[in-house]
Amino acid sequence: MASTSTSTLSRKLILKSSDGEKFEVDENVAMQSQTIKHMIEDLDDINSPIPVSIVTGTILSKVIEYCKKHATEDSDSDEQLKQWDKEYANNMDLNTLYYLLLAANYMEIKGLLELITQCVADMIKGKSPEEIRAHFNIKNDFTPQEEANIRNENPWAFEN
Amino acid sequence: MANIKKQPSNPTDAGEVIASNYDLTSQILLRLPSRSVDNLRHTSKQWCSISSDPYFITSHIRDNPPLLSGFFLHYFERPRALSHEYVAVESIEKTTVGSSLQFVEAQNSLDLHILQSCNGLLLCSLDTKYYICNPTTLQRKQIPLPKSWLTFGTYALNLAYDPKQSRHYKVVYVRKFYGLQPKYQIEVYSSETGYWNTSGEPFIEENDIDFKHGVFCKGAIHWLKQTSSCLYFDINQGCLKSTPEPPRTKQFDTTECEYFGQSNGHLYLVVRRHLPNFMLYQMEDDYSGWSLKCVVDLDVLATNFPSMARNFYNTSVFSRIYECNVLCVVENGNEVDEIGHVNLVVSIPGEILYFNPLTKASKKIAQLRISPFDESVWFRDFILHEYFETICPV
Repeated sequence: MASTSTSTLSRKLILKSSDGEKFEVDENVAMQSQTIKHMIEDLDDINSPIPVSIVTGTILSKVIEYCKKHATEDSDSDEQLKQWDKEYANNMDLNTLYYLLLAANYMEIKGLLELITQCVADMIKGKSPEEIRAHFNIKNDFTPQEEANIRNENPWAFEN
Repeated sequence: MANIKKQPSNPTDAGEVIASNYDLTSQILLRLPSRSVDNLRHTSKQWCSISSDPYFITSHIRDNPPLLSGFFLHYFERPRALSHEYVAVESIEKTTVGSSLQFVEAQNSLDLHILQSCNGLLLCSLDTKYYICNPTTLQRKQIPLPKSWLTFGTYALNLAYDPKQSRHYKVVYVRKFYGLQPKYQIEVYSSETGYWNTSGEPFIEENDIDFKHGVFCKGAIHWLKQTSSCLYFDINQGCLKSTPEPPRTKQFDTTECEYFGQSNGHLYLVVRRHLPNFMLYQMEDDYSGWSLKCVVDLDVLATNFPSMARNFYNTSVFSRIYECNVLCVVENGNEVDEIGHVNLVVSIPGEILYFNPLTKASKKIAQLRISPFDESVWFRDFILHEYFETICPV
């Protein structure tokens, strides 16, 4: 609602990535992150850079791209925005996607978190536990006995 | 400060951090279909504990309403090991027959019978025992029989499960007292309490009602009478009501019921009337009566699938029927655009088809293992139950 008339009045914030890169963004763009919103409330001097400690510059620039688009959502219809989200996510390689997910989680950006978790879910749908373990480097921490128990659950042993 | 938190240093690390984070893994699993969730609990102890977390289960059921993903077929008069088959339905466009579903293997080895399918849970019988089964997670639970069971013998059990209302299910038992006039008593089992309770007073009904084939829809179990009016039992209110019968166009109309069931919260009735075609009725939301949705034009279907007309011209013009049965009515949940989104699942000799009665589009979804050329094999040789995926525990 307020974006056009207040954009000139909107305060600028500086976000600083883990590798020291600085980004100047409109306050309403940065405020999509709940984490930053809380940080600003506690901050005395908003002119000093706000550290986004676990996010690298490459990832932070992508996060900002998403936030900018969603800060001015009244210019696009829901349908257009959805299409934009889809293209945005499709253009990421897998590793970027994972880093974005961690960033969205850390920065508490609900929409971005939902978008990326859906992408990851679509990707792992239909995969076997073995494939998932290999992909995410998860250790199979079941003992052989426990694993046998899980498998035995399946052939239906009906209590007679 | 920035370096205190562990920062993923190489690409696979990010995936690893995600997969070991309980919260993020939960978020991802919440967006997976039930069968994937069930399958992936074998990944690690943490993934296993996420998918059995009651809070996760409740959220998953809320976000993933039961999804129609296939049909169970049960053949009569076949050797036990071949009597059950499964047709997977990914979408109207994509179906696979006989894709392995462990539940079906169990069925074939045990001769477990599905009595009723209800939003992802099945009411099954095995010898003299009754079970509630979840074919997705392969969980099953034997239901205790009511005390009155032994004294009066079985009459009918019906399952009521609506994940939108509760994760608990109920079983409705209709007990029959034999006498000059058939008298019935309803008892209800709740999975929440684990007890049976008598509901209301005994009631008298004509012999023309089939209590063995109840249809659960909108919080009530519905039974069809020969006149095609319904008697229904509202489970929450514990009361019985009845609906009008379908309008008759002629005084001596026959009302041979072809199908009675529900989809997406609507009751459907298909009757053989004005041979050789069927009439498709839908119950009004306020139960004021059946409304005719369309005449199911089987002539069109027979042009595309001539096997259903193989004996058509051998009989008199007044009794000509196509070899075609309606097994199921499937409303396309996402699109509320009237009847155009209702598909019939029909069987013809040797095949199962989708048929849209409005657009008249048809598509073969399964080739049955029985030969269409075998004259002794016709369509009434099996029954179908829908398979909905859910991780709801039983």
